[in-house]
Amino acid sequence: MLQVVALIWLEIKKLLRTPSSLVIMFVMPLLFTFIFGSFFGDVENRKTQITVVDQDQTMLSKAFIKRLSQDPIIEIKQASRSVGEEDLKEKKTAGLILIPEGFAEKITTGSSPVIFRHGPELTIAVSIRQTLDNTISQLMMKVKAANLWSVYSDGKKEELLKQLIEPRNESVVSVQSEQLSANPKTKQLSQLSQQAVGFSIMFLMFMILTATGAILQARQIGVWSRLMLAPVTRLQILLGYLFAFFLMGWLQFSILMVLSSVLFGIEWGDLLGMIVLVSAVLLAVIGLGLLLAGIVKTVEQQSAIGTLVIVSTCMLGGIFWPLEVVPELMQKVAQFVPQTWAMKGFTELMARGGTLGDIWEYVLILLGFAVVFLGIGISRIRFEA
Amino acid sequence: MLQVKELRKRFGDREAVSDISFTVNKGECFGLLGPNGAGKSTTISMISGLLSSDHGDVEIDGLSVKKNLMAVKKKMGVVPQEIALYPTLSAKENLYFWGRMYGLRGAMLKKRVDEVLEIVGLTDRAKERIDQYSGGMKRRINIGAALLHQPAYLIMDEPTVGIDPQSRNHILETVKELNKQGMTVIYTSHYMEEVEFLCERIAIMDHGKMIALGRKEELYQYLVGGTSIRVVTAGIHENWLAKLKEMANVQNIVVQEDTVILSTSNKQELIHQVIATAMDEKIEIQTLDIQELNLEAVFLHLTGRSLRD
Repeated sequence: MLQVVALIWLEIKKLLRTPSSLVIMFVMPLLFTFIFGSFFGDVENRKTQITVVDQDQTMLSKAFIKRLSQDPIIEIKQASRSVGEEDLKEKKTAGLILIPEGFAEKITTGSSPVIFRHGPELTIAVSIRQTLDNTISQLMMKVKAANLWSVYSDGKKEELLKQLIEPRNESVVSVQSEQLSANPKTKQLSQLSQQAVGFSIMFLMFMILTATGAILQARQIGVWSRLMLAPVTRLQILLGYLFAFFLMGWLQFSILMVLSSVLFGIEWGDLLGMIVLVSAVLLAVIGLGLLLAGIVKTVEQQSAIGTLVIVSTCMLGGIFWPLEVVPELMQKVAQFVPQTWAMKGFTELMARGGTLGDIWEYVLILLGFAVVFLGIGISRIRFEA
Repeated sequence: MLQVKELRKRFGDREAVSDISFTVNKGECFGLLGPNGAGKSTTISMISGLLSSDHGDVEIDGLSVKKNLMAVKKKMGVVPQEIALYPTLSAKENLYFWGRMYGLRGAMLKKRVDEVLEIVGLTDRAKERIDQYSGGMKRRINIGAALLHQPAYLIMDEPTVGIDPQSRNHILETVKELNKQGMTVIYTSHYMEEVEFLCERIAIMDHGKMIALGRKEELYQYLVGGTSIRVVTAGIHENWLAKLKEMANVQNIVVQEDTVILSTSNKQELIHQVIATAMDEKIEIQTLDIQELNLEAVFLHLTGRSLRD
């Protein structure tokens, strides 16, 4: 037991003493999450910038703009017509809403006076058009209401209209939304969570690749022979290395979980489910590392081939993008890489509020990968000189 | 007592070790001498259990390496030929780790690490990383790591390869002292001076076979009346070499660049003949040494080759 603990402590000490390992373990995944998370943004919270040109400058046109600015999917910026058209041409703005002179009069007569210009790339154009139609309809109704009211009362039409069109906290809830299940099977990870999980897994794999290279390195520098000369069994040596890799993996992943929660507000979901899932992922990844170490002769070969294997399987396994966006054939191929099942597990726990009971199938598949990889990897370790 | 019984090892078509047998008595310093590739390291690997033999066995104090490997490992300290240390750790950290691997802990571990650092003379440099050490210092810690558990048998495989003379002397003196204190030492080297300095009994190996075994004086018996003559020239001609080979009293001849080493039982006559033929062939002799009674000469006599070939 003393020997196993000594070996575990030695490997962890060696790893933590190498600055490049610390960069791979912690700096790179957080940096990549930050860069790619910010770059792609969080689709759910992102607003599209639209420029509004108000040539009417009336009470109604101003009320119209005010209401538009309350819409959750667009961000309004006001400009002159020339600036607005230039911005649209240079794609500085996603669309241009032109409120021409006579807007107020046309509203009163019930015709649609607003012009909405946009490029073909604006995917939410239909939603924006709908928002414009709804807002104009509401204004028209209020104008009509004011007109009608003035006919039957002595009140001033203008005063009433001013009161009616002033946006208040009058959110009319016509439909009450109810979520049928707290665990909908279709919900996906947010962009930032996808990046956080994906890069954590990828850099975990890189760290384990470096760590499992310790066996090859030990052979290269001769300490492997010295280990074989010491009164320790092969099982003790294997356990020492495996526990060391496992603990290093957990050390990295748990610190990344805490840091990504603090820095990016990532919620990792059910703790027990996460412990079991990450452990299964680690075993599969350690197995893959040992398998690679078993088929090459030097640390350099392992690093080169390992990098290729990690990046390609991460691409296949939905680490960088959801698997739903890739062709069907790729989705079928993805079933044969452990990352696919890891991502399914993380999605279940983090996006759908799942627990251990919801991910056991994924955990079993990952353990299956671990058994195969570890079996081949361990069988290829040469204990003799 | 360490008994090597008919050890044999084959790698593919090549027989690396062929039926090697010898006995090392307790407290003895035993030398295994031979050129590179003679099979010394393979023999050491089989003795220490690092490599399984195809045939034969090794017994240490009555314990078979094949049957009682763990017990045997505790009795042995093996100094491998390469620097088998973690380069990014300090000397002290390395020694602590290897001490733990041999089951030492707590106060005993600390005491032994301090003692070993003292033995190898690196107490004041113990906290420095191995990769910042000189070659000689690395070699000394490499030896120290094998001494931590106070083994009864110290097996050293070419422990002085590639180091400066000062470190070599330190290592040789350390081994001599350990042997004096009662440690049994098996010392392999292709440096005959080291083996001659340290060992009383010596086995000479070549091409996987043991070609001689005995005390130094016994091995010199191979050279009864025999001598080796070393001739350094400004340049050798084939004609002169042919004439040397034809001489009746030349037993062996080795050519190394511009140097010729001849073994003979009649040195006076041979010296005359060498000088005469050199003058005939216009060979410029720069130096001519007569080397008597050393292991190099024994090896030359037995194999017709130099130890450094």
